[in-house]
Amino acid sequence: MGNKQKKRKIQKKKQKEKNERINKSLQEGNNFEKEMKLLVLGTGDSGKSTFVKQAQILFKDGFDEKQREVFKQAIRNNLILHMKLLINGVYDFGLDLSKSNEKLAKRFLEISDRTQPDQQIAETISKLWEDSSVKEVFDRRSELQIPDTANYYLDAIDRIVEKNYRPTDKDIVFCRIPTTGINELKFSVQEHPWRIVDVGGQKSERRKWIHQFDDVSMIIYVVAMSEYDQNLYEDENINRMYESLELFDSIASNRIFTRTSIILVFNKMDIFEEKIKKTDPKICFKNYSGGCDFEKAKKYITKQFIKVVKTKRRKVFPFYTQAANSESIKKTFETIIETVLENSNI
Amino acid sequence: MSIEDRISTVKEEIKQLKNEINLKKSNLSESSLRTLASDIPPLETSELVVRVHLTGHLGKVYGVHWAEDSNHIVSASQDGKVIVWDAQAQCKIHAIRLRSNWVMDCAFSPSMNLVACGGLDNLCTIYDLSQEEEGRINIYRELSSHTGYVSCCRFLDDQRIVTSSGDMSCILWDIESGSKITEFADHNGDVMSLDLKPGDTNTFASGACDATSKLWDLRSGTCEATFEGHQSDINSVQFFPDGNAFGTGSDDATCRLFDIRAGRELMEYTNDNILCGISSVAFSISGRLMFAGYDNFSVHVWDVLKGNDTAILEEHSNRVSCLGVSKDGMALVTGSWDKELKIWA
Repeated sequence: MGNKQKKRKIQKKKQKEKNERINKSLQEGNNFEKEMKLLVLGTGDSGKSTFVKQAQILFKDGFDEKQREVFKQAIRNNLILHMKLLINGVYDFGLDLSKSNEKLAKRFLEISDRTQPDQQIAETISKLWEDSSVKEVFDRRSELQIPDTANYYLDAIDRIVEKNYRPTDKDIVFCRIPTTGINELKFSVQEHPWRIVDVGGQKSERRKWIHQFDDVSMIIYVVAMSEYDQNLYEDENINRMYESLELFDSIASNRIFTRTSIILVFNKMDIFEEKIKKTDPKICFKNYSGGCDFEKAKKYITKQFIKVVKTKRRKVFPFYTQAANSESIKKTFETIIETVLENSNI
Repeated sequence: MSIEDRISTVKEEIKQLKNEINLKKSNLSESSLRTLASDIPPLETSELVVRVHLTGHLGKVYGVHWAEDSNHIVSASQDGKVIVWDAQAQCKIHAIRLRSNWVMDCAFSPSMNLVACGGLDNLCTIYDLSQEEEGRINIYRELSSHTGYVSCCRFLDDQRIVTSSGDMSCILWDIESGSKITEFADHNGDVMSLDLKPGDTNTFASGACDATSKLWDLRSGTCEATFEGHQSDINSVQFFPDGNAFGTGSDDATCRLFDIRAGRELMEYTNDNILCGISSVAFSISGRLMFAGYDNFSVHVWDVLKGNDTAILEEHSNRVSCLGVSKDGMALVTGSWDKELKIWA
């Protein structure tokens, strides 16, 4: 056999071997087919990524140092962003800051949005946070786009700007970082591979990518129960809960999910409990007549969502949670896992 | 009058003006492509048959692209893998593990050194095939800027790539620095597909969910022309071999041919039996045939001149999501949600 032929033969053998190796690696180490996929959906700010963070704490021993570092930056940066929102709120509502704070505020607003607060900035923020007008704006935050957890961080500013600050799990869970693209987590429960996916960051046409998830085991639809008196960030004329109901309707009636179980997670129950004392849900649901009653309101709102799912064949489970309450989250996940495994006959 | 009323009145006016323009245009046209081509004898094609089945993906195949050597193929699947195949030897050369499973398209660079893919992670990730370490190919560059999914990507050369996105824009990137060179923003809907004009390194076409396709100038970033006609999302755009026209496939169940110089639609490819959308289109090397992949699992072979179906290829057991004709025109590869790739000749 000539050299050229020999070379070609060796080459072909190598090629075949490589092909075999690749085939093997594709089959093993790929749990793709066995994976239980959970899809988290919901309107902006409903708590989808928080849900995923909680899964990380429950199933993956929390966050590693690298992730904590990322959150640390976001938490510190949010101090500036949120105080800016509050100050702008003071002006929007036509309120006045105290004379000394007025000067501080003007200078503060000029700081770049991407800064991390140093000692001086932190002091400025603390002073402004004590202003009665700023506190009033926070009370009326439903009328603006100020996150509910802003006060948690502003109250803890001294701890946060400290040199050795390491965010606690609670700090991370409450931290608001808008998701871009896709946010997912792989974990293992009962020796089974699971994957929870949050596509909240996509502002594009759902119909162009929702088919990527046509084989999910369950849809987790997250609703912030407290948003009944808030309007959208994207369009201040639209009530957030209406938007959430509409989205839920389009998901529940999508052909792709006719057989998929849906779980409704009503989140931010603690904020809802506070809010319901003063604000009547009638502001969102004209036919509601239960008044400022926690149980009546909770029941009514739940019903509005459940009746969207018209087919009786489909199971819809409502759950009530709040970010800091790990017990409620744990129970929710336990039921999710139990239900999915039951339905898949494993 | 309220602002909403003013907007609807203006919209009505625009609609009327458009109709008048279209009427004038059709009155000016001497003939239609269909009429002109009626004298041309129908095509006598030998039947296209599957020559190779490429299996190995464990999830739906979302993207497929031929390399310039007309032998290597790159495919991307929901199982999180991008596989490079040697079509003749029918074996796998590389299997790249992606960071994000949710991939929507993949591409080979003309030199075949680089492979790109993009998807729901809003990134276009580039891999250098010549840098293989212990059987693994690491990420070469991650192009980040789009605020929506990356639906399509095409290399100009090893230094530049163009992407289209669900954020309604397209971007020309400098790969080495990982930065944007130019942004193309004019569509009013998710941009689903793009194709580079053959023989012209300065133009590309895009198709979007606003039912229009556009031609762009790569240097200036401006939209040179907009083509209307489709009634729904355009999922695929591909230039006719001579670059003077391009074909499109849409959710409105039609494929269309648009001529750049005439500035209008030349032909619609459809029939009453087709009720589903088209995911991808590709021309044969002569341009006489257009292959279209359908949601109903089939591939139709259209006679571009006469406008009729010359063949329907039904071998896939799920939606045909992507397809491509090799540069030498010898083979067609189709990718499907049935996890397989098939090569036809």
